[in-house]
Amino acid sequence: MDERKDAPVTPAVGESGQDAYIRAEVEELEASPDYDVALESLGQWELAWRRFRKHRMAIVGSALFFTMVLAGVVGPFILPFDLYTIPYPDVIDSFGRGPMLGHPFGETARLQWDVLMLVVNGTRLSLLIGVLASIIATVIGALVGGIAGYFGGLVDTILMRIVDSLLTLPLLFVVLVFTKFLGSGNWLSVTIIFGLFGWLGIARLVRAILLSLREEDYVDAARAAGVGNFRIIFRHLMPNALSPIIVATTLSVAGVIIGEAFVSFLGFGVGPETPTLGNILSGSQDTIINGNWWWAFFPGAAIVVIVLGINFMGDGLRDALDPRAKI
Amino acid sequence: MTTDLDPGAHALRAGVGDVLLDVRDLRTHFKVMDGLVKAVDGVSFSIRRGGRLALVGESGCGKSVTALTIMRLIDQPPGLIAGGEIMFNGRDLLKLSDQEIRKIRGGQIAMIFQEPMTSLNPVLTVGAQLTEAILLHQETDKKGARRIAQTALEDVGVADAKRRLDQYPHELSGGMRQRVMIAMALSCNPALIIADEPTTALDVTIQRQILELIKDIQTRTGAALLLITHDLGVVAETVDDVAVMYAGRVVETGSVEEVLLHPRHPYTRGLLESIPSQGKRGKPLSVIKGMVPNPFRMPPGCKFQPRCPYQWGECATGEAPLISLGEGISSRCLLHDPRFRDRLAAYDTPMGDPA
Amino acid sequence: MIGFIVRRLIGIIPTLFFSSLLIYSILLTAPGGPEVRFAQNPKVTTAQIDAFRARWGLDQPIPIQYCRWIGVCNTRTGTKQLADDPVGGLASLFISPQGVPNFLPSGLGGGDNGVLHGDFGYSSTNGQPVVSVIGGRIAATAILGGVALVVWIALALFSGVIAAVNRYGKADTIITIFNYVGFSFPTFWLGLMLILLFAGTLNWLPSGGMWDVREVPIFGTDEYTQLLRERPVFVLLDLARHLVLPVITLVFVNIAGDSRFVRAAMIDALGQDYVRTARAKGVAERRVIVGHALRNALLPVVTNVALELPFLFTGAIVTETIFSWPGMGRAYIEAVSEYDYTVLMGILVVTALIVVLANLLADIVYAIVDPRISYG
Repeated sequence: MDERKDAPVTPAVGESGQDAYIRAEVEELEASPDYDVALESLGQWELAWRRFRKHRMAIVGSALFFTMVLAGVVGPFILPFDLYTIPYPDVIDSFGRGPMLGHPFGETARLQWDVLMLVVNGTRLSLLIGVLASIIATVIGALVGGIAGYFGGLVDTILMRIVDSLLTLPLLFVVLVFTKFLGSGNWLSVTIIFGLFGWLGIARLVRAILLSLREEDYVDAARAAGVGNFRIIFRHLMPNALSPIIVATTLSVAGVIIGEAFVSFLGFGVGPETPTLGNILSGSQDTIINGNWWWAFFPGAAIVVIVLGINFMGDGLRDALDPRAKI
Repeated sequence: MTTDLDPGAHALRAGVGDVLLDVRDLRTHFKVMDGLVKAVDGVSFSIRRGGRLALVGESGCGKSVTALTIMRLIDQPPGLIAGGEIMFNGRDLLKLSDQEIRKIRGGQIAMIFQEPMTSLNPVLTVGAQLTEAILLHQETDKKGARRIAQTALEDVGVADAKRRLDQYPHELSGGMRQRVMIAMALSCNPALIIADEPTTALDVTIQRQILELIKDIQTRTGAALLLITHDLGVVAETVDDVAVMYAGRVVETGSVEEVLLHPRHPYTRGLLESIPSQGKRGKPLSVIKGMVPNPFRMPPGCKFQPRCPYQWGECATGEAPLISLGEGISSRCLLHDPRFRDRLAAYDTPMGDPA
Repeated sequence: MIGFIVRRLIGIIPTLFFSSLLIYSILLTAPGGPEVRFAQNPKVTTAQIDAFRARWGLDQPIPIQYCRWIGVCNTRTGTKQLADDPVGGLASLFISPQGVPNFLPSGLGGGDNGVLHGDFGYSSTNGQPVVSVIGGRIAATAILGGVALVVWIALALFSGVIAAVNRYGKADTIITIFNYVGFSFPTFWLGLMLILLFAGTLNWLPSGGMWDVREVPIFGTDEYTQLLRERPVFVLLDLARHLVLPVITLVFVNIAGDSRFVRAAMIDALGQDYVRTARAKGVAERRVIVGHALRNALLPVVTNVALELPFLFTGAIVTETIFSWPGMGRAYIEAVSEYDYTVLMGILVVTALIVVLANLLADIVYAIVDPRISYG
């Protein structure tokens, strides 16, 4: 069994469809318990990393995502943004000019901002908002789900009733009200709002896992040894839920980025002094019908690349961390 | 009685008219991760009209794959039928088009599966599942099909058959569901019934009933029976002839009395010795040492060699063909190779003279 | 079956109650309040704002405001009366003019105010009853959502089954990639791109709206109905032209989840023993796939679809905004812009109700289609 694990997986000779099939079979075999036993000595995280590396989509996704992260981190230093510095275009054309050498993504209509500059600055903030809001949501969700799942009974009933009720209200509806009525257009408050209302799914996930784990013997053992409830929840039980939580958090980054983009596009979210991939699009709708496509296209394409990258990565993570999960 | 069964394939030509199914050198392989699993690798046997043959072996020896290959129910890929012939009524099933094989399936060859709990479709009524096959293979309308289905259910001893037709599988017990499966198999008067471990998933008390039923149906309809099982007790009660499989090959064939009372092949012998019985009370039960070989690392010579108590140097490199020992008996063991006559003498069992 | 449904109906009451409380508290926590729209207007005096608050009952204690909005209390008792006679005034809140508990249906002598009695109040922007504001919009949303639903379920089933049958083959790979890409598209941006291509560059389709304003009267008016009766083909074609882009947008983004779901359910079903049994009976492959495997795979799919029904209303918010579709989603955005609290609450209540009913529907449908479930 041991030589097998390090042998490179070379599919048998055959036509490409056959190869794809065999590759998929290989992945399934690797995910099977037997394979786990063979690789037991590797440790859980190392094992996950090996699986992740072999996941073609996950690697493509990571490449897309980290390219955008790089653009968002480095880009703003090269092409800084300052709302109060109105660009002085060399040629005045209030319709904006299309992609050209100095401005590969073109210029916006009216003020003639460089779209590439807007995109790199927007990418930075959109990513930041997505990641921060997802972390906030995960912390709240793990807390609520952990408490509900561990204690069960009345606590669980009440908490889950609240979650169910909140789920009857579409997230976007609630967030719109808050982002608009808070009125400040501040990116941090938008982030917090997305975080405060985005934890429901994770809470349900964590609760379901803890509900099944709390019956395990080691929980009784820990309790008998006088370990406190919260220590049991967060030190003993939560690590078991870590894999699905990581996957859910990753995927939720994509959700927040799209949600924030829409809210800010409407003008209800982050204000124009801090560009996000959403708010730099507002205004583009008016000129799109006249043929200024680059203004709307490039920021949106940036969102697609980021979100596609995250979704691929999330899928790879799911397969790597939680091979028995379906779909 | 058993002379007409001769799996030594080619010697068989003489009795062709009487032979219903003749499997010759069948090879079914699976392409998986590390290469090729030769699940069935040169299996030959035949069944005459109305005959009863058991394919016996441990799980993983390829007996179920053989049955599924006969029905052409192997998914390709990953499956790959690498060679051989399956002559049924003089036609090679492997050469038929999809449409032609569908006419045979369920019509001329019916199959009973191991798991009655999962082999019936949970969202269709028993009646719908029974009539589906009847409408496919017989000239009748819906009403007629329903009548035939009801009769079939009555034939397999299902009480209140009319009401059962409108029930869903989950409303029936395991034994009852297996009866439905048998009714489904016999409803189109097949020439061959393949029963793949038909009793394994059932309670012990039900097992006997179902076995009796299959035997009864087989005698009444005159259909041939291919019984696939790992249970030698079932074999003794049900069939006339036996083919023992090991690691994708038939290692021994013969009439049920010959094989069970005078096993030729060391593997068959080991199998029989590992069955607890009255006579062996108080003595330690012998077991076959070692494990079924890893399909990726088959021994180069005889596949049973690593576990065989009688093996010698020759066995690690050379593999015997299925050697015919007359009267339908054959064995795939070098001991029966005329070259090693002297060794056979030392093989300390009362065995029929190979000559 | 009836008992099962009744029990489930009773079960949703607490959820709806919690939802209404949440809706109320969310709007309460949101800063400002209905009068916030005057904040930017220097001409509006404090006295005028106070008068506005008094007229809308905003000067009363919050529990009483909620109680009246929901319809358990009535509006007869004013602030002054409460201050004079706290006990009697408070008690009288819950009693209808006819002298029975206010929450009972009007027909039984209960009050006629509040959500329970179908009274969602009046829009603070145009004074129309909220019910007619929502009522006028809900049809437009239902048309868009309904058409999108039919298209997307048909496509999801088709693509999911094809992908499952050709698992890991070329068709599966193409469908999978398509699904991932669709799933990663922001709806509003896809809408923009479609407008750019089909309305702008190619000029084949209208860029927005629900009818051609030059030729067709406003949707929902009597004139519209009359024209529909006189020239049905013309009006429906006009509607269809306006539907194309929003429906493509909704379908493209939302099909992915269902398609993957169908694929997984089909792969699961195709691996089951009963599929092998069907093949062993000589059933043709097409019939094995549709009659046996899909028949089983549909069970989880049907439930999933029922759970997605509310999305037709909520998901439309983005599409309706981009394509200026006069539905509930756009009404919601307008209400947010205008701080129109009563309309906001009305739409949220209707949405919550739709979500809860869809959940119930999912349970019922599942119980009907799966013979193994007994609803005892």
